[in-house]
Amino acid sequence: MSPDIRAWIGTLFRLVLAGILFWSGLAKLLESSDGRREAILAYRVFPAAWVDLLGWALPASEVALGALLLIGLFTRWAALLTALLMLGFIVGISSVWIRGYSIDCGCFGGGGDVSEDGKAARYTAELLRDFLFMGMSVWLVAWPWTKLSLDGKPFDPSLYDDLSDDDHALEEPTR
Amino acid sequence: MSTTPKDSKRSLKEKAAAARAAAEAEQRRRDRRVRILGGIAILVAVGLIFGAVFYNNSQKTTTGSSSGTVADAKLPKGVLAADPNAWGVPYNSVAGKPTLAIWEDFQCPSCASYEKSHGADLLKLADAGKVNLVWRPTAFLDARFAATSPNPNSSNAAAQAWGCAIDAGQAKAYHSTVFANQPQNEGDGYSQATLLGFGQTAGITGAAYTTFEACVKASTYRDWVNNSYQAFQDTAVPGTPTAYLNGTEVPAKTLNDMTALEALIASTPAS
Repeated sequence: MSPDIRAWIGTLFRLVLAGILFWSGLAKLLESSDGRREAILAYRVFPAAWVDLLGWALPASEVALGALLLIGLFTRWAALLTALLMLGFIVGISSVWIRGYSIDCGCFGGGGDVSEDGKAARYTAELLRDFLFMGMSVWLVAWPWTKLSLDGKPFDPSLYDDLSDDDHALEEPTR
Repeated sequence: MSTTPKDSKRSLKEKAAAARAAAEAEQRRRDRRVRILGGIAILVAVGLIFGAVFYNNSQKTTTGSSSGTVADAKLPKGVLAADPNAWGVPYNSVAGKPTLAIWEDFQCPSCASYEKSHGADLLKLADAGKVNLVWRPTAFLDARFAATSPNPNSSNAAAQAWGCAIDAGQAKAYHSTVFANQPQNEGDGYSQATLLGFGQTAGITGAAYTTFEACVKASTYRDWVNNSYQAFQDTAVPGTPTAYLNGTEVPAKTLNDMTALEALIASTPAS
């Protein structure tokens, strides 16, 4: 694959992830704090004392990561954190499923205990979606150089053709 | 005096390297500038978002639902007034046995399906004197359907009507009638007429029904339900149905497996 195509694929992934993170973070932030509490408590993972802090910190991180990915700044680090976040969601959803609870993941706001109807299909779709997003993030960790990005590029001699060394000419054996 | 070709070549080479280093340094400088400006832009953007959200939330909390506990709330007959399980409705009372307290919301579909599949078995355990059963009402789903329900605050209203039915001696019948007639679509809720009708279905008749009707219409047990909901929030109950055996949460799998639940109860000392 040419580096150019790779960069464009990376750009697409970056923007998709940015949109998803923005949307999910803002949807959560716009909920009431009771709603966020309910969504986190439903996972039955975190002690009650952590819930209020997490209710702010999680959506705030999502918005911040979304902003970084949108403009392509610190792409590799932002993508790494996003991949870890997705891994966290995957572990969380799997864990409630295995323990036999039926919750709304609260991924885009909402959340809490819900009806058992369509539980398996719901969890499967959520897990597949998060695996897909994690895959995109991992791609960006591997190849963070994308188009339309503010990240510094690795030094590219072709940009400096005029200065480009005539090393080879100079290295010709002297007469 | 004169430079050798070798010297001139070296200096040419050095010049090229220097130019290249300068170009790299220039690009690094430009990158750094972009990063600093970009970083500031992000901080400002995120800051603005937070400002907007904080403002939005501060507007909301002025009309918030969290009302605190009303000390002199009127309680239905037999309802527990003190912890553990304050505001809970005891189904039975046997000495020397543990207490299973189960949180339910009358609009919660999982509660209705639990009632359908295991409700009778649970009552059997209590009737056999193996456990003290306490129902704990909550109304947390009202917030979820506040904007969309044709009958807002239905969880609260249903629990209040249940309180009136408890006074009429029909705690068990009213409890099962509500869950058996829960609307298919979560959030549709119960109108007052529906809740009154449940009273008749539960076997409240004659003068008792007149009292029940007046009790429902006067929202007699609003403070009781709000207090119970407040306790639900204060103790960070993760959802419904959630059961606590002597204060320890019973895992969902155990709660849904009567054999396992009975074994757990049998191995738990008195409350």
